[in-house]
Amino acid sequence: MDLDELYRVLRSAHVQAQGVVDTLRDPILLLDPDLSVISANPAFYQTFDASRDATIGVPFDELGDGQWNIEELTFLLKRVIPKSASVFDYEVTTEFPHVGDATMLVSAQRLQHPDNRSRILLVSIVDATQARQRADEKDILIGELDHRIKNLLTVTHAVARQTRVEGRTAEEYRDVLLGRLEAVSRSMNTTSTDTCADLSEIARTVLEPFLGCEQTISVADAPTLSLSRKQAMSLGMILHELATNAVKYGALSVPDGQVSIDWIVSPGEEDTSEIQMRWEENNCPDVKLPETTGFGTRLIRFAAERELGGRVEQNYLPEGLLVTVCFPM
Amino acid sequence: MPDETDQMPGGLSILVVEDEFLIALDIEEMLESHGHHVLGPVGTIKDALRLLEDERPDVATLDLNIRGQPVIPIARRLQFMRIPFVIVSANGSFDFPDNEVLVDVENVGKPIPEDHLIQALGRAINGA
Repeated sequence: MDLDELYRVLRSAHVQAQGVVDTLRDPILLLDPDLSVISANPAFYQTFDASRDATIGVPFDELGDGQWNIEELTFLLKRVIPKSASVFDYEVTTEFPHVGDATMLVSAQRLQHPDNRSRILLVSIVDATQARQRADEKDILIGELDHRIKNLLTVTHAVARQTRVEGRTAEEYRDVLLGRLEAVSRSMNTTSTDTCADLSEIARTVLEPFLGCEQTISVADAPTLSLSRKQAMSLGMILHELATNAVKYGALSVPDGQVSIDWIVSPGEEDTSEIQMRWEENNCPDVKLPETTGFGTRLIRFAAERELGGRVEQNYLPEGLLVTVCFPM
Repeated sequence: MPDETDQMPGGLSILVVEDEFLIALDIEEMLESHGHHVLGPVGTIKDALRLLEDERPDVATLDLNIRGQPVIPIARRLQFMRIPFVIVSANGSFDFPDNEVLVDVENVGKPIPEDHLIQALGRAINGA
């Protein structure tokens, strides 16, 4: 190999190396032992909108607006050359010129060199802002999920504790409890996060387990109403309790019984509208009154008054029970 | 039915702030079965603050998160009125801004252990 050839080889290796450094998307700096910048790659200039003059020969801790002037980081960097130590992903979260608020991970090591006595520090900077944000968002989501699971478990406890034990066999207790839990689940299914549920859909979903009865349950299709998650839960539980009462005492306990559910919207106070939902039982002249005011009755009243901010009326008419639930939209 | 660990006098008036109505119903029932009188339950911060304009409970139970809002304004009002309170929340920590008012406040946790709730209310009252 003559000198020309060697020169070509070296030159080509240098061009390739330069090409690699120029292509890297992460900012890279070469520092001398005093931590002044020897050179920077295009990604550095581009990321921090810095000029060559404001970079080359400038001490690392004076770059930009002094974002890198961190005592601990300087201490760590100064150890790199004499101790052959390295800095790995040192986190700097602050406002950077041109970039804005960001999290940068700084890594540094002595430049690898065959004689291993290199006096140059290679510093690479990775913008971890988005990764950090994603990690934070994931943590928030996991926290939210954890909270919801515990809340749901608490609801389950509440329903189990509130379901009356007295005068029931274990099997009856289990069926009432499972019916209520199913109603909770069905009410929740009609609304996923941030979406609204339609009243007609809520009624059909919650009453589905009762549709197999020989009696007729009819649910109106209109008017369409968008309800919040909390409203859906309240109405779902109210409808479930009315249906279980009807199975025991009302229209769903007699062969020709009928239940119809419909609603109207009328102007309420100020600019709000008021919904009047009717649960109407028919062909059930001998409607029996529940013997006790149990959890079901409390639940209906509580949901209508406290949760929906409305009121509930129960009337025992000659044809059967009529329940009206009124609440603001 | 007060038991022996129930260090609390009977017949207290207790404000319940809880936005999940089935849980609110349960807390109400638990407290009433121990002979106490429940104010609320209320499910919004606005309703709780309005209730506190007219009423003065002996003690309160607060969920941490009321319809997506931290319960801080209610906690502050209670602290100002020198009314003790306990937290009833599935959140393990009070990790949000302005939480100084919750320092040293007991979290009963969820699902709610009935005895623990009653005892925590007793401790809140005795410590006040």
